[in-house]
Amino acid sequence: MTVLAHLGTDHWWASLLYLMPVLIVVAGIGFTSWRDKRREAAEGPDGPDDGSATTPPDSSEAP
Amino acid sequence: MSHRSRLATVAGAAILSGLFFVPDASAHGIVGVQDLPIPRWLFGWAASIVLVVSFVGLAVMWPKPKLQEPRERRLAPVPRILDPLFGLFGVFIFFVTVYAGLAGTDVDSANLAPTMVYVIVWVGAVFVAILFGDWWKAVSPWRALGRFGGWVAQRIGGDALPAPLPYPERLGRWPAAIGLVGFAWVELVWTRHTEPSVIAVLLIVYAIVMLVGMSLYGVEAWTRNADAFGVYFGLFARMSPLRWERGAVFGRPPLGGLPSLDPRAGTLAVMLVAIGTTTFDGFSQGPVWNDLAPKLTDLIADLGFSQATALQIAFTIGLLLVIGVVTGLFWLGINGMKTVSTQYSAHELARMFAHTLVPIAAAYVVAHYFSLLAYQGQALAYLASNPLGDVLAPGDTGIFGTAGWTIDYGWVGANAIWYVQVAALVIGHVCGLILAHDRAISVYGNAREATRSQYWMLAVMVAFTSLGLWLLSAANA
Repeated sequence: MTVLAHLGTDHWWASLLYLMPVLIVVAGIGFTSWRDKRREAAEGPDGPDDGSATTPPDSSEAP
Repeated sequence: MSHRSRLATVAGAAILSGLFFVPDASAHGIVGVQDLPIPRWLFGWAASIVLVVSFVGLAVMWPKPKLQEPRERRLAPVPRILDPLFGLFGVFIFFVTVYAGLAGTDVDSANLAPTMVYVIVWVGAVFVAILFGDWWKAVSPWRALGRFGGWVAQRIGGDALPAPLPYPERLGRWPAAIGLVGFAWVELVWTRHTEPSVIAVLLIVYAIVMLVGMSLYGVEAWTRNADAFGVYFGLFARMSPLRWERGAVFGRPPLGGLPSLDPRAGTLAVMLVAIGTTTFDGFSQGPVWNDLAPKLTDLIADLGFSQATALQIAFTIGLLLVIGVVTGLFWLGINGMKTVSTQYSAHELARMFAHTLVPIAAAYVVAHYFSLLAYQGQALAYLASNPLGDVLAPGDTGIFGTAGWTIDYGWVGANAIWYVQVAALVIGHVCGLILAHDRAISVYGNAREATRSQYWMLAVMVAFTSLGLWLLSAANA
């Protein structure tokens, strides 16, 4: 943390720090999407209908 | 995982990311060139947090579309004589600028033409359009000349005058998009772009193209689709709370004119070009491009081009690549939206959400060019008094008595400019989120599905904000 704080704006590493929020948001969204898909797959076609159009139309992925 | 807990995960991740390094960093009081209390990259993190919190706030507190059919109310009548008067003013300024370019000094900072075109019109008109609506439509010199020509022809020809050709629907706003790329190329790539005489000739050529187009397809159809400046400023004017129509001015909510934007062919391209060219302008002033450009130029020069031509080819490649990157980012968001529902194709979604790019383009323009307008805009005071840049006799203060004025670089400090830039980027992207959320509710029918569809658009907004701040930071370093 101290190293990061000392980067200021001169070091090229500081440029990468602008990318961090993007990576974190993308990681957060990717994780939630993965969890959603896993959950939907686990629930199968008889699971609660949440109205999502992404619900698989057949039961091939159901356990 | 419930909808709210999903939102909380996204928000929590972003907020934690922002807080993780803040105490140490701020405690050390890193001082940048602008004497800021915290490093500039921390502003990027804070801006991202603002976007995520806004996204969550919209999901919770904005359950129904509010901007799709905004209420307008008539504020005041506008005398019809103002229309030709503003047109006459625009034509007068056009001829003065062209005359200054052709007959004035070759010193670009002393001639009216470069400042009038690149600062007052190109940058200043955007600021005025956002605040006060489509003023360019009133002062556009080619539109005024076209309408005057039509009026004269009607008087002479009467009913015998042939009707204008129907404007080709397939062309849409593509001519405007191509015109914008052309203008950006002249401004950012061409080495002769500040020569006053070159600017004057380009103005004349552009006006002739506009007049020919208007004579073929009609004044309104042509200016609505093919006039790069008219379309560009007109899109920003849709953010304004004011809408001008012949005979009256109407009030509406800010951003209220954007959802009704007709997303005909080329509209999305205009916005992507606007963001891409501004991005390249910032990028070309940073260390990454300054390292890359000489190498690329040498590579092209090895193929047999002169060094000057090679440099322009390198900048052209850079300009087109950056427009491509911006386009790719937007398509990522659109394709992410498509994963939620296959009801619409990516192409349909891109057209439905094209208007959400307008405030982002505005944010980029304000952030990148605020300092240019704040400083170089002052030059209008002395250039108006001495548009040709003549050497004046001692004591001669020119037409308006302001020829001796100079630019005051102290009236707004470097810190204030940075804060304006950050605020513009944050506000612009929050506006983009609001428009996208409002459209998503209208498209998907409920707030839950709408919010899910916008997850990837949020990532795109955070990416655009971080990119904008990185560019500004690199250019200021």
